Amino acid sequence: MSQLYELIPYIVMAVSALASTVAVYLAIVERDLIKAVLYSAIQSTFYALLFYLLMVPDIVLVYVPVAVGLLSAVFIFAIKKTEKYEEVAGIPKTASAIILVLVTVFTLIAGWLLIQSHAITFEIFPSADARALAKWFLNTTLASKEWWIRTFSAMSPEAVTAIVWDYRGLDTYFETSVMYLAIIGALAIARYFEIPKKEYKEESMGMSIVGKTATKILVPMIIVVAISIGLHGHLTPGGGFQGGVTAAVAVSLMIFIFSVYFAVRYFKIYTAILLRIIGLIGIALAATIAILIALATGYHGFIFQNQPKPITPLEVGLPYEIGGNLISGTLLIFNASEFLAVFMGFAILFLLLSVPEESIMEVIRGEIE
Amino acid sequence: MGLNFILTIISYILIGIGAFCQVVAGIGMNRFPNFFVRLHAATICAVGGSFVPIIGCSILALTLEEFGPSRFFLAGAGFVTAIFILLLAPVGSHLLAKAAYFSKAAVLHPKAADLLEEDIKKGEVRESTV
Repeated sequence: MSQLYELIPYIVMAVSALASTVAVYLAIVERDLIKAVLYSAIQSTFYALLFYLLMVPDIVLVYVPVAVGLLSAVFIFAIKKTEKYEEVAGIPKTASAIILVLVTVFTLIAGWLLIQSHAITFEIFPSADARALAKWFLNTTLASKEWWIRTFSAMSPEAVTAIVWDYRGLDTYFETSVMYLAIIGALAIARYFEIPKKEYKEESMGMSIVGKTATKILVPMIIVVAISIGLHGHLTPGGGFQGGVTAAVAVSLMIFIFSVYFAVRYFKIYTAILLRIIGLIGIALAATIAILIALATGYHGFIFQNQPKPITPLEVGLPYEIGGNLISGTLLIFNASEFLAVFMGFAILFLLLSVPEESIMEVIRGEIE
Repeated sequence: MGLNFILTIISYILIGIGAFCQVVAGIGMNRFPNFFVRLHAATICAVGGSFVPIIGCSILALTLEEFGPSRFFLAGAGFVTAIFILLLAPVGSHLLAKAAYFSKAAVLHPKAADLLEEDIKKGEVRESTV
């Protein structure tokens, strides 16, 4: 019986893969485009189940709202604007009803099997026994006396930051460059757009004095909390990205409550680009600092090296504490640089979004003529 | 029957008041006729339903001696959060009401009196100074 339990996730995977194939077939042959979108959403649901079984819950968290919700909504909106029927020979209604019933039954069976295999529980509190992989990370990310654990350790009590910036540092580096490229793209599109030079007037711009006074109290608090989240990334949940996004809220508050002409006093677009580049240089430096030290001293080093490994004494790494304060080697540099880069990236985006439409139209007309 | 016991009772009473205010705000949200009166229900939810029970939870955290020194961190964070909610929830309601009034997005249907409209007609009040 226990062998059957081990097989259950694989059976669920097979069933949901089959069901998603059926849903794709239905989405292709269906003439009614709204129904086709529905079938494609069903297929996405099965894919989410597959992702969950393949132990990538973070992908599921992104995939479900985007593929099932957002994409379907965009498609339905587009279909409403154009035409509802496609000129393709459809399948008969009875066949589609049978297949829909089959898919529903498959879904129910898969859900039942998932509950049976304890992959999904209805308990309020998570189960006390962790998986072997989780146990490994929890035991190795923080400091330990034994040398063979120090070999794998990132010397940070925050396992997520240790995984993101140490064990899988290269992944995160490319994720950061994706966002960097997106902002470069936005800047390239908006390269001639400028916020018009206008004097900020306290009495005629922005919202009422109540909102302005509350925002004056709130903005320094937000920045302080954001810096705290960013710099404590290696100790507590949070990190550079989360801190940067929190700090960007301050910029958006200044734009909406006061005025964009007030916000540009403190955040000019070109200064923001410069600070963002400094942040990215910091990330690149933290990635290569071990190999730079190694080249200077004649030892060995690697990119994204954090701690020195006791098993290979010729390799260099960064100290995990300075004067008794835990800094976890490169993790602090990564978090601080990422904080600056993300904060300034979002500040650039908010400022670009608040360029008035008249000045954009002027630029476009000027290019046409 | 020490200080802890009294504080625990007070904190449970505060949390109970919060639950009651949430229910009242929920009923008001559904039953009130237009946007501006519903905003009143939302403010009850924010101040009565969030500020008061967070104060209660902070007092409750102070009494839990088995938590050690970390109970002071919990209580301090709770008090700061509560004070910020108390300061900022009315600001949010004010800005929402102002935006809805001047953009005419909300219909003021069962209207007893609109003194602001009369003042604007007389020219005593301008939109930017409200």
